[in-house]
Amino acid sequence: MSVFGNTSSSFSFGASNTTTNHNPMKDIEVTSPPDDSISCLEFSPATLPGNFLIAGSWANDIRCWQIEDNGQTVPKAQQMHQGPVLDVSWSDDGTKVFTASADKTAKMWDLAANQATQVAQHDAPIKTCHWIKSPNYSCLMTGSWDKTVKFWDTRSSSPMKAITLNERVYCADVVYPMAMVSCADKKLVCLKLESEPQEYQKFDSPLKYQHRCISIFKNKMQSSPVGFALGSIEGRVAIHYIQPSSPRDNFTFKCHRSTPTQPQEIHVVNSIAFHPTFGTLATVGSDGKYSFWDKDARTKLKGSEQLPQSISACAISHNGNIFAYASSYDWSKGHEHYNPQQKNYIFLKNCAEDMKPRAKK
Amino acid sequence: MGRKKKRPIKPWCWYCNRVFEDEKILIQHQKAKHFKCHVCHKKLFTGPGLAIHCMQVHKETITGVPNSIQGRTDVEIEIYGMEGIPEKDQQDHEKKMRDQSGPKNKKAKNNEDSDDDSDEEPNNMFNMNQHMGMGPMGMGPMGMPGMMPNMGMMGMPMGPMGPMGPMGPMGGMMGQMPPNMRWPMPNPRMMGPMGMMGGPMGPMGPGNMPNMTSNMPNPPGFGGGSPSVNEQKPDGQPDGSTNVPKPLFPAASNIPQTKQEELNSSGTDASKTGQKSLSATSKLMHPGDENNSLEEIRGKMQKYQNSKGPGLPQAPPMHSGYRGTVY
Repeated sequence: MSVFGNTSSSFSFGASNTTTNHNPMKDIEVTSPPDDSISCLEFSPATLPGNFLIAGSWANDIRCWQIEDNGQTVPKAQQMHQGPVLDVSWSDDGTKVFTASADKTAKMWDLAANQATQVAQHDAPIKTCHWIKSPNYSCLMTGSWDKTVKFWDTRSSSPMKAITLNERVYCADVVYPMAMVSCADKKLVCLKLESEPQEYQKFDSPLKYQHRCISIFKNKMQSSPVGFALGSIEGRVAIHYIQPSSPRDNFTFKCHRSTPTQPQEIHVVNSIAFHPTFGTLATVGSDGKYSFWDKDARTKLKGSEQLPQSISACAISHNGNIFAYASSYDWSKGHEHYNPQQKNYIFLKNCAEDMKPRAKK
Repeated sequence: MGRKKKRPIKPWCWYCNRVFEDEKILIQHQKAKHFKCHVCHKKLFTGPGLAIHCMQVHKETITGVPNSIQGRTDVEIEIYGMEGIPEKDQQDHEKKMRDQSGPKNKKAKNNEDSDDDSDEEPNNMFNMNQHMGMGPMGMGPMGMPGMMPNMGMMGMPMGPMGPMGPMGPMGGMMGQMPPNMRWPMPNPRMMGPMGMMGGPMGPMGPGNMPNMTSNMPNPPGFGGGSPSVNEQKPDGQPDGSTNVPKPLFPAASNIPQTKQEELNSSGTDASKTGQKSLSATSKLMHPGDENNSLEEIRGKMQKYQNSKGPGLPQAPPMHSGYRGTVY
């Protein structure tokens, strides 16, 4: 709670910003944001002291900030790809960051040495990358539009395993020992990661529209993964258990839709992040809003004001105190609405209170 | 025969005339259908509670209880389950139920049950779509045609009740407060917002009257969907059908929420389940290329294509504010 939760410091920091409407929630603005849309955000794991934030962008760069407890953000380093960066992932020990790019490569960024080396190669842009740490092996999982998922030990130029899918990989998530991969044909694959990555189960989508983001959640004790939240382009999220105790455990809910105007606008769900202790979730959409939800009570905990731009990515820190969200164009209205001059922002907010499930009445 | 007459009347909802087996379920129904805030979906306990909530929390004036039939929209009448129903309406209802012959009665009830239960089930605040295997398609629009005729019948018995409804309540609005109010709100607070309510309600009354006298059929253009049609109903559930027969109080259309729902109910149900026909009522904010993700579409842009040129330097140009290493 103390981390970042000091209202006075965050307040003073907020006051130093010129209060324009790009920040309607009056949250902390990360300094030196990328020059093009932010595609992904990830906080450092609990193995590192403090909090570091990584953002990948369409300006081909990956940036790293140190987030101090008083809310100050210190730019630390950056690396480049030769194409837009589409995903980032921390290694379990926090010493490395893996980056996936539209340049068809994935890189391993050694933060201490500030050196990036290529560790993966696909035949098409790599959309997802996730670090897998198992007791007996560790590897980087990459999902690509070349319709494969590959597993790389970071030393060899050929993958230790490859799984061919029917369609392009659109989103994926890993919470050991479970991985979820979702494809353009709205098929989902659940992988088991013990001993080696293995296909465990295939599902048809609980949603009818193109998948956009997926996030695995754990059981109530937060001890092992039991299901996933899947977001689609049609303002809807599905909560799905791998082994539901009853079919009624699975449900979908609507989100990121405009209040009644004519016609109602239904927005894309860009990202889903689960709170590490509460098990509640945050969704962000191209409507420029974020929302916090309690999937167990099936309630909305909090919604935000509307930002002038889409919220393209979000992340929650390992201790569950900081919610980071990126305000940048996500292409949901096509290229006509792209304004390269529009500034991009990353905001930080203390979410420890807002994401807490409400006490039962 | 005499024995049958003594059979206790089943709990019923004053707002929509639906009959329930159990008052508990009725209360659930009321909270979900009639006392739910259209803005934050909080379920309140009574009509006045909803009005006060909307006024105090969202600064919005509610002019009618959502999903209520003509003449039963009054937000100032405090009804909780079977408590607080105006005596006259209670008598009329009992009379009607007794007049209906056994089998007929049963039939009507079954219809209501079959259509409504599905959307009553989720005991939650936001739209739950119980997808079992098949996904949300389960009860797609197919259910609609079959349902419709029955629905029409359902609406019928409500007709005669319509004009009577408001008479009782309007006469003694305040007097109608049930003695044992379950809504845990101190009286003074209650009076405040109610006073404010008086403003908008006043002028609205006369506006309604013509409609109530001409009444019976839905005013044209008022499909009468529930406000939850759009935001609350899972796709594919025959929610439209449950709403069609319930005429919406014209005044209620002043609530933005109901406006939207008109739009929706005027569209076919397929628009909610179908893949593309979102157009009439809602617009999918996506470039429309169903076979490509936003990233794929964006990546095709010349700007991002160029950046893949092989000649670019690998070494990272340091950003001005960046130090060399992280730690």
